[in-house]
Amino acid sequence: MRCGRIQKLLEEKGEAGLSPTDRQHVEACPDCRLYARDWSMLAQGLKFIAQEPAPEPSWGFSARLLRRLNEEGGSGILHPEFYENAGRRVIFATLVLVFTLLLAMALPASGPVRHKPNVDTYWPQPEVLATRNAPVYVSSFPPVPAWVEVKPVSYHWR
Amino acid sequence: MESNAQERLEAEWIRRAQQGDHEAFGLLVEQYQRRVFSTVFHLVHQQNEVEDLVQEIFIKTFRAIRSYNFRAPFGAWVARISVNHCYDYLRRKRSSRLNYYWQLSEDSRRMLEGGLEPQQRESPPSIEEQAVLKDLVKKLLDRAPAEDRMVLVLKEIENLSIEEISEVLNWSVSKVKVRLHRARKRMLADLKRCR
Repeated sequence: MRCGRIQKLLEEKGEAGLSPTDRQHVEACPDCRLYARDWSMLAQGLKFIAQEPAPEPSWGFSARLLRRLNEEGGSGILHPEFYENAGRRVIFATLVLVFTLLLAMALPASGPVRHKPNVDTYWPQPEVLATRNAPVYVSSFPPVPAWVEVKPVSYHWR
Repeated sequence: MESNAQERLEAEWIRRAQQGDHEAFGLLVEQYQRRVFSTVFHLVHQQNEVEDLVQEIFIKTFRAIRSYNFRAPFGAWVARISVNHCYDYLRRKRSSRLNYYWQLSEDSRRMLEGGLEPQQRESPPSIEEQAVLKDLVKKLLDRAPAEDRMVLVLKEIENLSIEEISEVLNWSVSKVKVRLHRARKRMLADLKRCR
């Protein structure tokens, strides 16, 4: 725990930024001593790189840049990046479409949106098959409402 | 007072560039080109490629300038485009640019093995030693993952503050701190592995 804290301090402030007790720890702890030595070497190398002068823009750099912008029309619509992005979108849209079609084909033909299957098709439908030979009982009919006048029927046997 | 006038002038150039004015954009290029050259050079370490990369960055900047909304400073916005462009470039190049221990120079190897320890001595390192150390650190940077390299270069070489880095990389301050610590640790581990 202490080593981690001290190593962070070493990175941020270097050995000079440590308190006397932390410095004592660095001297006593082989891990922290190695860390301090390596980090100071790297930090110095990074400092030397920072001092290295960056290349200057060559003469007429901005003029050449503006000429290139003029040549390309500036709008960016004809740039390859545009085609790359557009192509990516077309591929994505096609994939979505194919996936939707496959999903529609794979799902069963039922549900609230779909209408009932037509019974007049060539093959007998399941509900027709189920009722064709089944006997019908009077009790299976709904009760007659009170307002319906039911007259007794008399049969005259001859 | 003077900086306010400069900011107003810059805002005017940006507005004109947003309407497609190339000349106004040229003035912005003149203002920021040195900074972009420096960032790209330190990130990429390929002197012969810097100018082409900077040109591509400014073309990208011009194409995107309509989306600039004046919330962040224009310099930070351009720096973000530069860093992203270099990041893409490094990721493309990375596979073909791996450096291994046996590719280090004889002097770098000697330094790794502890022959030269710059902080342990009283006298400052000689020019040759500086060159060797620079070569070694550049090779370690080249081996580092692109994200580590970005954050290390911006902090240690470009001397940006944590807040500025978070603006450029579009990361939170805490994420920058964590990534920076991780990048330094990874680089030190790499150094040990080479030893």
